[in-house]
Order: sequence, then C-alpha cells, then structure tokens
Amino acid sequence: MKCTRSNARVMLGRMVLLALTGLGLSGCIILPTPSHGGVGVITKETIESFEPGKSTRADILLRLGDPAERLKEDRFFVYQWKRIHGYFFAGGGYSGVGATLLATHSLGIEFTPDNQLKRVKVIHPWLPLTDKRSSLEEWMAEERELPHP
Amino acid sequence: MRIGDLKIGLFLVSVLLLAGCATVVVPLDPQLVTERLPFIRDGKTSKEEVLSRLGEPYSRYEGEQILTYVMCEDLSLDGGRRLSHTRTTDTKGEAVRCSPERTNNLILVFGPDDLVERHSVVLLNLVKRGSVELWR
Repeated sequence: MKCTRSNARVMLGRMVLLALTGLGLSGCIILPTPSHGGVGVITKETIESFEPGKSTRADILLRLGDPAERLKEDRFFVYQWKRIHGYFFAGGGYSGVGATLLATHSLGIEFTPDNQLKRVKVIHPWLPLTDKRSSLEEWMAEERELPHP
Repeated sequence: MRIGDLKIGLFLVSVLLLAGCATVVVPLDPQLVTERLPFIRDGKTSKEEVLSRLGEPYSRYEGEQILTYVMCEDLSLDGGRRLSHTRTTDTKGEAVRCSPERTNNLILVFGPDDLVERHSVVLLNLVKRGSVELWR
C-alpha cells in the first residue's frame, strides 16, 4: 500500500516536472522590424508626383485606381496598403508556428469642389495594432486653404 | 531534427525570400493596355460602346464622366495575356473571379462629347527591394 502511494507521488512529481520543462521550453517571440514588403503599396514617388491645385481627381484615379473609401461625396479618397512590421513566432514541444505582423498604411486625399487636388496625407502606423483611423479623421476635419503658387 | 524546428526553419526561409518583395500600385504600360483592350481608343470610343461591351461599371465618378471596371488578367489560349471583366459570366453563369494580385482596375475618363478622353489600367506589380523608393 505504502509502495503504491510512493509510486503515485513519483509519477505526479514527474508529470509536474515534465509540465514545467514544457512551459520553460515553449514560448513566443515578437520580432519588430522596419516596415518592408507589402501588398498594394503606393510609392513615395507616386504620391510626390501629385500637385495640389494642378492634379485632378481623374489624374489620381488613372494612377491609383479605385480608392478603398470615398467620403463626403468624393471630397475625400482614402487608399490603403499593408506592409510587414515584424514577425511572430511561437513554439512548444514538437510544434511551432510563425506569422508576419502586418500594419495598414493610409493615404488620404482631399479634392476641391472643382475636382482638383487640395492636399494629401500619408499615415504610417507605428505598431501593427495601432489604430490610425482617428488620425485620418482628425486630418479630414482640418480646414486648409490651397498653398499659394 | 524536430518537426517544430523544421517548420520554423521553413517559415524563416520563406520570410527571407519574400521580405525583399512588395507589390506596388502602378499603371500598366499604355502599349500593353492597347494590346489587351484594343477596342478602347482615346477620342474614338464612346461611352455607349464601353457600356454595351463591358456592362455596368464598378464605380462612377463626377456624374459618370469617369467610369471604372475591375478586370482579371489571365493567359489567353494563344499564350498572350488578356483582360476580362469580372462581371462577365462564364458558361455556368458564374461571374469571373481572380486572385487579388491578378485584379486590375480599368479607368475611363470621358470628355464632354462622351468619348473616351484618357484611360489606364492600374495593377499590382511585384518589385524587388531597392528598385523603387517605398515609404519608410
């Protein structure tokens, strides 16, 4: 009887030890990187080619296609693309997984009532999970005159 | 080697291979647009003809002076590339679908006489790191 109890304790001890070892060896890691790669990226060169007061809505559509969002009766266009901002790895025991951490970048464009480009705003997320929607809404709420030529 | 190590190793190799690549939004070369959509000619093709050939547009801007269509890029039987409207239907009556990286946007700007004034096809183009300047 005593022997059986002792064996059960040893078995329990081993199981606890195994669980602790497993927990110690498993884990996850988030590796942040400078933004790179991406899908549907709008380049800096393209954005800088648009000229407030000269470029029109047609020019922008011909260059970028349909926007992700059309707001306030086409006064604002929003384009979006995703870029890699880091990697996530998790492993434990005999298995492991990895994933890329993507963040959404936005380009806001405002037009004048006569369909000319008024201003642009590029919003880059600092972290993949940060919400940049509010930054875009704040920018849209700003009222600005066209820059004088 | 453990299966987990192998999976992580494969993932890292894939990441390293893909990390330098990005797809950027660019207009297709006008010559290629003409080859793939020969019926659209600036100053000649009317809005009526576009609507009869391509059907309902995906979007309309500025009181229908700008129309856009979503197109798929596929290889045709003769080996060339062709663009087909995603709203056209196949023999089974299902709309043509394409993967996001093969989705193109046809933009048509009409003049006051309702003839095509300018047009372009915007697509996602795969580029390698360093070939274009990307934001950050």
